[in-house]
Amino acid sequence: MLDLLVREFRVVLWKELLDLSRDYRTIIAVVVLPLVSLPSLALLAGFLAASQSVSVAVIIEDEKAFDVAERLSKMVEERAGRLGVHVNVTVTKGSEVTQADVRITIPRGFHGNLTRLDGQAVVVISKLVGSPASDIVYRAVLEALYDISVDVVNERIGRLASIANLTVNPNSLRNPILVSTGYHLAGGAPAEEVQAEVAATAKILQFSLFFVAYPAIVFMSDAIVGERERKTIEKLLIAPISRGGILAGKMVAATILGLLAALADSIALLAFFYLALGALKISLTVALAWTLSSLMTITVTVAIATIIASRSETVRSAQVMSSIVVMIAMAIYFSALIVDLTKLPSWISLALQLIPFTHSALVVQWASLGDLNGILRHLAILALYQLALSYISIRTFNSERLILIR
Amino acid sequence: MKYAILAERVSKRIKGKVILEEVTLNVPEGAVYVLAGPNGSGKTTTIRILLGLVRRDTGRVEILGRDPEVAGGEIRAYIGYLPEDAQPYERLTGLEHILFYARLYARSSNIEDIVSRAVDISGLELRDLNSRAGAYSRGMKRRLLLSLTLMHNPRVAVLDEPLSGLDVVSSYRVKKIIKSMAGGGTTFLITTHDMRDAEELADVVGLMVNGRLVAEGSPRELMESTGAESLEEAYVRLVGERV
Repeated sequence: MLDLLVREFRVVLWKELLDLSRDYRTIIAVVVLPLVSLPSLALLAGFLAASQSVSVAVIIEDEKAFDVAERLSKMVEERAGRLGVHVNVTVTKGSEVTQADVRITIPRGFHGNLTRLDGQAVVVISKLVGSPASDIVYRAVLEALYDISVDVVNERIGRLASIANLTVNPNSLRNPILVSTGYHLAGGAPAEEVQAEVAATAKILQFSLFFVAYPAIVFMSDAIVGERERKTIEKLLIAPISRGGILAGKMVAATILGLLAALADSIALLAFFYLALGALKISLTVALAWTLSSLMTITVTVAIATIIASRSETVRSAQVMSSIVVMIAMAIYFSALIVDLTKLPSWISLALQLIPFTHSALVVQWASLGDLNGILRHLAILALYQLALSYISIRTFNSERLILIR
Repeated sequence: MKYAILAERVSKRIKGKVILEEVTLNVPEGAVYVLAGPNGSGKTTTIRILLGLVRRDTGRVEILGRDPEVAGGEIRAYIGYLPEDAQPYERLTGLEHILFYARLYARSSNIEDIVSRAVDISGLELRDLNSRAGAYSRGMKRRLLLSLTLMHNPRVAVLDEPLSGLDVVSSYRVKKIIKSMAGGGTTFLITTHDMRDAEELADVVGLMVNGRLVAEGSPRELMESTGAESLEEAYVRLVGERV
């Protein structure tokens, strides 16, 4: 019996993969396009960001503050450049009217207040509304002013220490509390910084699971409703092959396509974040857990899509109905990007765990925390969902409904 | 007389509409039974019920001595079915179609024999067999699908409008294949709305109208009973006023 099912499944799988391998549009759309588009998007965004040019005007109303203004200009140029924005700084006298994206005004009395032991100097900054590049330069200005302030404070501490005839460390005086940050795992065991970085990358991988679901849904809708629309299913239904054999072949083909798409999407997404944010860390456990989680997510999605497709009139209606499933998956995976799914109140956690996609996100999360029990528990739940949904999809794969539904 | 297909008082409603009403027909083993009638008369639904693809509401059906709703998979290896509007997979070549179905049907017979037989029945050139079926003409597609239907030498072949839309040469080839296989003992159940085809092919004709089988017999019997000179005329006399 099992031999026969395996033989039937292999024959259908051969046909499905042959057919799919020649569907160049689908392959390009789900595998090639993400691999090219996402890294290109990151490169383009990086190139465009680096091409931004912001004009900065340092307006001096206090002539004695010219040296500080010069230093500030250089520091802003250097820091903004590091943040990827090219700046064009001009230093002008106060009386001149200046058009610039960011205006830094050094008012009268600045120098006096800065050099007095208890003085508080004022700098007025005005930035252009609705300009992200100006926001970056504004951050650079604040950083530069902070560094100048540190120098001024150190100098004041030195003066006070000299008056009091004391030897002091200005750093200790300015920062009486030194913060040392470490990491630990859920069980309390100490963790390295690299594990925190792996956990951050795992968040991206959790989000990437969203891309796993969609190609599988598209393929499965087409493999069932599309066959009916193309008038090929009736002949197959009367062939000496079980419904289980037909569905198993189609489901595995959809899973293979889904896995290829998942791999392409995840590589593309990691490349996007790597190019946009810098280095990403990934561990073997997380990679393995993500692979298993993707596989289970695809098979669960395929089973759901099969149930929906068997009851749909057209490929379009099957895909529209299935998109509800995708929306739920997206809600879970997007939440996983910004929320710790293990820290929710029990009633919310229970409700979320009724949705299979929650478990695939949790597999990756527990992997990033090095919790093998957590990984296995949620993989087992996913496997149960998969078995139950596949059973329902085979039981509801009804030839009369497939042929007569209009 | 032994019957390959037997249907007794079969009825079917779809979405509340009566599609078949108390249809009774018997297809003798080795005969060519032509189910004739206009579009929408219930021919395709009858076939689907006989094959177990659609469930009947009432009545009894047997094909090769088994109820198709119960036996399903066990008898499908001995049946060939060509649906009316069936199409091949556009991205597969003719040969890949033949290989695919040969692998499904090759349980007791040698796969190479099935493939070779399908190639013969299709009458397609090797160059065409190696081309994707999406590029085939309507006639070539129909010939390919017919070869997939008859490749395993079925005991019962059910062909829904096999000649519809075919050119003269293709139509001639299909009729020749049917006659040849019928001579070899295969039972055929064929639907058509063309009475000339029915007259040419049938040992027994069943005339359907509005979901009912209104007459059954050999073409000669039907012509004699209505005093008609052709089956077409007999059909018009029998059912002309009802459609």
